[in-house]
Amino acid sequence: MASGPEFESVVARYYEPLYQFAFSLTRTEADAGDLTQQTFYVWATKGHQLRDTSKIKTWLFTTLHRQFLETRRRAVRFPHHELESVDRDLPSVAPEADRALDSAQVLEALARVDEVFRAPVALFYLEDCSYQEIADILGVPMGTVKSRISRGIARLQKLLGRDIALNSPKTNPTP
Amino acid sequence: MTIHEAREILMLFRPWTADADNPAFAEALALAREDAGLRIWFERHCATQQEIREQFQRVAAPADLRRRILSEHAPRQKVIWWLQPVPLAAAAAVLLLGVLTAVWFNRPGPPPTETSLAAYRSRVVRTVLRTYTMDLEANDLAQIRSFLAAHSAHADYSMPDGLRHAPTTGCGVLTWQGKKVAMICFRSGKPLPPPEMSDLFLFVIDRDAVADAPGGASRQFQQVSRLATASWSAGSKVYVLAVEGDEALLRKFL
Repeated sequence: MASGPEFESVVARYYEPLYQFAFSLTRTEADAGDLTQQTFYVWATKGHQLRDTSKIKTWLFTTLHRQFLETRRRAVRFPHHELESVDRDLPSVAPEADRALDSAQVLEALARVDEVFRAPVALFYLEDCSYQEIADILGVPMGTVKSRISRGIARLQKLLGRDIALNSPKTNPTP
Repeated sequence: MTIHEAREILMLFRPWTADADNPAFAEALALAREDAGLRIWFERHCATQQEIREQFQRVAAPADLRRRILSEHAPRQKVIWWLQPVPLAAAAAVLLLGVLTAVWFNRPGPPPTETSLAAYRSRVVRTVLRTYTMDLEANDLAQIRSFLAAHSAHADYSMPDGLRHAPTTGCGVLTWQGKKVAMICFRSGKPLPPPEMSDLFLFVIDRDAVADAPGGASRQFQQVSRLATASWSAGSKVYVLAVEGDEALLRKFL
């Protein structure tokens, strides 16, 4: 499964989306690159155990997410900050609905979303994963995933100044 | 279905997927076509979702990431020797034999075992890249040897000559496949951002813990992520020296 040409084609297909997912979790290039490399290392050593090749994507994203969580659980190299304190330290994103977004703003806003919503929201936007695949990757029931994505999106949109109220002055009221 | 129920469902709608054909969205989409307020909200929501997705997708992987991933895997790949240039006459003479041999040798090789040097090296390097803590902070090697001895963790290690000039910062005791690994930490001399204390590491493990331990004192060099590594055997131990940087920097400490 993880022999040369196959390994290269799996890397070619998935290294970019895996890196994007890792970056949305870690927000540092070095850590995201390392998580991605580690994921492919695990693939090279254990990928042959996967019988169903249609599950490669889910397997890789699951592995990356587990590596990330494992890192977070163990003693960390860098000081640990509670989410709330990080939230205070981050520069605020002015809620200005007409301003064009950029990647840094989006990721900065994602970092301010509750951690439990972050991975499902990143997968929702990044890869064309079905809700079942996202649930499998994160190891939570599908109903939970949908709820977390919905709440995470609402929070993200609000942080980006993109929350849209139903029946707001900018929408036509329902007759 | 109320307008607000429809909105809750449509929050999860992804315009870049086949969600439009997903029956779970059908009723809410129908309502959005009928209700002007909901329709306007939905159109703006879709535009916003598309905008956010585009920004997520603009995150670009480092230019050399793919090469790094493949190079880490490369030492385990087989060299397909029969694809190398050979004189035509010789090729013709051994064609049949060559093809048969190629079929035999080109079978997928076994993955590296969990006790391979590559697996060990990858694990210890990634430990210091992300998650290590020193059990003892000390700039005195005698103190470090004493600590390692107290923890039965390779206190009798030997250091390369080049490493003797590097200031030590401490040590730790790790485990790999149930075996103790001594980690002695140093500074290479490069400026380090706080709170980092070390960027040069010597790992020591029993030789019999590594299935394909290096045969002797000659160094095997391998870049693993941001760290250059050299591996060798001496006595009953396997050594891995790793530094954040390249092989040229690493060689200064050998």
